[in-house]
Amino acid sequence: MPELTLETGGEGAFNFLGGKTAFLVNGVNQPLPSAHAHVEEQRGELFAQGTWKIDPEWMLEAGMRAEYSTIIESGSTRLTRSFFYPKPRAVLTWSPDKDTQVRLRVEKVVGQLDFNNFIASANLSATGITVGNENLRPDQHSQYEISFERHFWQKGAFVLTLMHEDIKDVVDYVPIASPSGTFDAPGNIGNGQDNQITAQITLPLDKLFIPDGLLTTRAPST
Amino acid sequence: MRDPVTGTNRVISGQRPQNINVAFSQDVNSLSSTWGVSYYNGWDEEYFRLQQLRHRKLSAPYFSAFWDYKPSPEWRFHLEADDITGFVFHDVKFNYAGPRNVAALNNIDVFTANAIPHIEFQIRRTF
Repeated sequence: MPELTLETGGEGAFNFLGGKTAFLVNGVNQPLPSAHAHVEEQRGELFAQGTWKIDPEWMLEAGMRAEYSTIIESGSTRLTRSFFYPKPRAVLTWSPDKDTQVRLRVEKVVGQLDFNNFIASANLSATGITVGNENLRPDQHSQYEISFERHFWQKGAFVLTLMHEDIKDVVDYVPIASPSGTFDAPGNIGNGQDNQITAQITLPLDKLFIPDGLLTTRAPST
Repeated sequence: MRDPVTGTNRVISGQRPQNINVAFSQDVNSLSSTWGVSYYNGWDEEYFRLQQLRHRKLSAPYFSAFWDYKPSPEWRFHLEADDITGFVFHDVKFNYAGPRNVAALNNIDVFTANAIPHIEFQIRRTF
């Protein structure tokens, strides 16, 4: 008999960070982008999801999260930006027997911004000057995944997962020009793709004459 | 991914192309013990900046082994040898005189660290 369960809720967060950086050459201050910044984020999220057990072999989980945030920057730069991201998620599970499961997942995942990326910093022995970037946006991942899971020999398991994701607004480093020169800054460098293969094996070795022996592997690759 | 400086395709900074762990363990009930060995394939990653290309790498192999002895529910003895073959860490920075797409290579900063194996022994008594 089909079963349906529904769940809904919400959460809110307030984050803030302030920082100052000074860069001097021969005692002369070099103004850097976002050397003095205070960043605040007000973020709220609502979600609703349902689980539908269609029959003993098939189950569908589907839901939607809606995230709204406002980022207020003050200091060297004064800027207020608002973001709205709907984040759908669906997982279809097929369990043809008690030891086998195939899962299909489609989901949108939005990254969280690191507030340190809004403020300039210096590591002169390694990466040099990194300035802040007030225009930084979170990266957005559209993920498509299929996974096969099989249990065997009581303790044994094999899980193979293939995942492809299209990434919008990848966060990396971009050049930022200023009166003091052009510097690196964390920034969005466009769209990209990511492909991952993950194999996890738990292999009991009793049948190979090693009683209570267990071999485990985990191998994500891109 | 298109590099914003050179316009060529490349990986995302910090993305590791592979990550492999293999571990073996065995319970030996007659000795009240569990022992095991594990192997880690290391990692490598690249970072792309305006005037610098940085390559960080932890070279394989990375082996560790342990022996866990529980003579009673209260006592536990744990012996662990980590990084048995001594891993090598490389950090190479290719520094350009200006933007990577137009400037000449200015210098290459090479840092290499050779780690040494370490052994840990724990005795735990539960009251």
